[in-house]
Amino acid sequence: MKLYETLKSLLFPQLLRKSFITLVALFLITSLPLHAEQEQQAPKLFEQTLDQSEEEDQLDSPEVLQQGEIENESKTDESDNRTTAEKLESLKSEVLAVNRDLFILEEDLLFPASTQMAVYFSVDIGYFFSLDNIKIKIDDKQVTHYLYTEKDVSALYRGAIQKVYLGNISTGEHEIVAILIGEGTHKRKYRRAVSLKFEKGTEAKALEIQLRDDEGKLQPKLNVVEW
Amino acid sequence: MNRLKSVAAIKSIFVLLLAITSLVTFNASAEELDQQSREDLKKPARLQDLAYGQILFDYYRGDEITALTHILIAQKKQLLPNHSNSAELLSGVIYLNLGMLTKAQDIFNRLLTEQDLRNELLAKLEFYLAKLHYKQRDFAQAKTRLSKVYQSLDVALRDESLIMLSNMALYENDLVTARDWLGKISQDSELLTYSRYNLGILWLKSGELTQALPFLTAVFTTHEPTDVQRSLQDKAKIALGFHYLKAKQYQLARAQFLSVRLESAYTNKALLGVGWTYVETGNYNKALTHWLELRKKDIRDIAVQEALLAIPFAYQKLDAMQPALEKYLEASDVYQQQIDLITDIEKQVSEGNLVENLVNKLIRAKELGAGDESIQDSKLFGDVYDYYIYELLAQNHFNEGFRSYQKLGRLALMLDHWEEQLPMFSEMLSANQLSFDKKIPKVDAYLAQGAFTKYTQAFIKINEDLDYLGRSERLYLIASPEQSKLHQRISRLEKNIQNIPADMLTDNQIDKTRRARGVLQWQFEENKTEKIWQLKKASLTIEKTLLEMQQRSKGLSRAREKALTRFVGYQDLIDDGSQTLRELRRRIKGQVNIQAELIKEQILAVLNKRKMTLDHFLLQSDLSVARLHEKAVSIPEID
Repeated sequence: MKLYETLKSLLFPQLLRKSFITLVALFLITSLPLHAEQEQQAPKLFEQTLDQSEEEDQLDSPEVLQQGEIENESKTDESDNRTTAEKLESLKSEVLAVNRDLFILEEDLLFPASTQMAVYFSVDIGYFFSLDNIKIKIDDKQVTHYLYTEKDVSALYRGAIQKVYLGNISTGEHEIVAILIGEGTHKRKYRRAVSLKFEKGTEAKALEIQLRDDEGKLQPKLNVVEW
Repeated sequence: MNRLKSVAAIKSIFVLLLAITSLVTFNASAEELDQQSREDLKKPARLQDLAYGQILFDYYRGDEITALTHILIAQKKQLLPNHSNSAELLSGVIYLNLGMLTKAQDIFNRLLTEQDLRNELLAKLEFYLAKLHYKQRDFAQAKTRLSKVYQSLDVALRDESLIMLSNMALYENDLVTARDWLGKISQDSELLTYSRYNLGILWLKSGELTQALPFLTAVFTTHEPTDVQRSLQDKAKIALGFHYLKAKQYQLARAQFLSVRLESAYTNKALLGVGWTYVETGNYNKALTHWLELRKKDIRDIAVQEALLAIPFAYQKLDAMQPALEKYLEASDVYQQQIDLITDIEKQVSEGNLVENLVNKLIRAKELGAGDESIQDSKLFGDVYDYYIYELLAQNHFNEGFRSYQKLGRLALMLDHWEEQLPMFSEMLSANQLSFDKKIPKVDAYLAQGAFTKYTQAFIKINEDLDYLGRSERLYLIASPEQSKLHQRISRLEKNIQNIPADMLTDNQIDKTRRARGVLQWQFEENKTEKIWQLKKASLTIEKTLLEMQQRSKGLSRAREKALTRFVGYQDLIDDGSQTLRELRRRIKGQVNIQAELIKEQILAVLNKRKMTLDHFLLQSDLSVARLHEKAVSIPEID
């Protein structure tokens, strides 16, 4: 076989091939005797192609079932009886738990309940107003300005509530002003504002700004609700 | 194709998830709510918890992990008194999408009753859970769940269930059951193409060509087939073509091969097949025409590689020994090059960190939804090499494996955020503590002054005076400055008179004094009511201010008390968090390494298979060269 490899290496270089062809032929006669049955073998490769084709004729579906499909998901580790999938799930669970705990820690540190103030925003129907952005002022100081994306608007119209501001304020009386900018009926620029004086106690304060359709006046209206 | 299918599956999951959550957000009438004794997961509910509204906001925007985090926070802080079940169900849906099967299953098993599962929407959850079991090869669970709910599903999902049930039967070599399941698929189903193809192949494998033909010759029935459907039709034609070729029905085989589209992914196989049909009927020239055309295509394609060997074979049959020898030598050259190429990739895979880099890249892909695309588009080894593993990269199971890891990677990104935040928290704590330490002496001094007590006592005195005034006593308290001076003079006078013996005073003097007091009293009475009212008004304001002052003082006192413990324990929490983050990071890295090894194994298996095929081709080519040389040497001897 080694001889055959040597021969092969001699055969392939293009420059050498033609000049050594006779020599190679002679070499072959002496070193690589061929049997009659080999002589008759034509490289009927399509037999192999047929085999491959049969392999590929496996059933097809949106989720084709194949050998070894999820080996990586269920492989077990010798040091642990759990499967890789289980370990992965446990790892994900732990990451989520850590994330939750750190979120709570962050909120406790940055926004303690005694000074915490949260402003939420919700929309109902919205026939008469197409939301573009919202500004919130607390005690005449702008605390947030949020520009809405299509996804945000869609989420709000589907009933979700946005926490538009989270901050700290002192106890006592304060005033909040919310200004909404968008498009009203007939594609006209529309601004709507609402204000509320509220008392901040020692507990966390939550206000909800509600954008509602006033069907009587065919225009949007704003409310502020204390939770 | 698999990628397209899995993307479609993800889309359908997403649509379902949105539908599920919409159940719990749309408004319902107050009467309906009053009648609800428990949270009914099948009915729309009025949003009553701000926290739940915020969760939905994140979820609807497609930020699932933030939504899940907010659910976990709200659960821990008990902020969901009215929507706890809905939120938990939503968390189950997100867990399912994150590939956290056990968590999802626990939640669904707990929240959804058998009765609930008859509801189509909730049955869908069970369907997707079953689908995950199916993907994880937990066929017992998948079968139980699918057979429980498939009749409650809409047509499309029912058909998909039937495909899965059929595939599971096929896996167990139960062809009859597999055929029965497939037979139940509705005729207008989108999956009909797959079912027709599958059914046809099943018949063909059973040797029932007559039964297979109607399905394999028309795998789709629509007039506007998609690319996937056309591709599947080409695949069916190739299968039929090789079936006919094996059965020596060369004309029929050729017809099948020739009907494969030129732009199809199966064109190369078709060209190869056409060549063989001509060879089998002795028409070597025509075979050569097709194979030489095939030779111009990508050399890494297995059909092209086979053609390299078939071409000299045809020349040989045409007695064109010189071109045959040349083509065999050329083929051997190409095979050797490709073997070297594959050996090179194998070396890179085994020894390099290319796979590790790919896994890291995929895991840190920002967009979860773009997972499949990033896998498809990734250049693992560069264009020259990727062709050999392209099929692996495009396979559904390869992508499925990655998807779960990518989601872990997305979660791991949160660790990055906290790793940045925690040192800042620590600094913030120190700064706050320092600030508190500076302010505490000032607060203590203020509290020690007893300012509030002093003001309160003064206010009590004022109120007493107001009481006197109310009884028209001590009216001098509302005197003007002049009246006050006068009052003091008269008072001194009266005092002096009292000290002088009565016999030394005349009646006139006493009367004068009384008159003076009377006149002053008269002046006091003038505008008395208005003055007292003004004083009472001022008293009320003072009272309010004092109250506020009292609250602030109490607040300050409370804050002073809390100051000592305000930040106690936080540093420990931060330290624990940091340690947990490090530990999680280490474990995630471990998982990434495991995945990298698994990918390596898969890639090496694919490469090895291709290398073995090439080795086989090379051997055949070299042997053919040897035979030709032997012939060349022996012919003159015969002559």
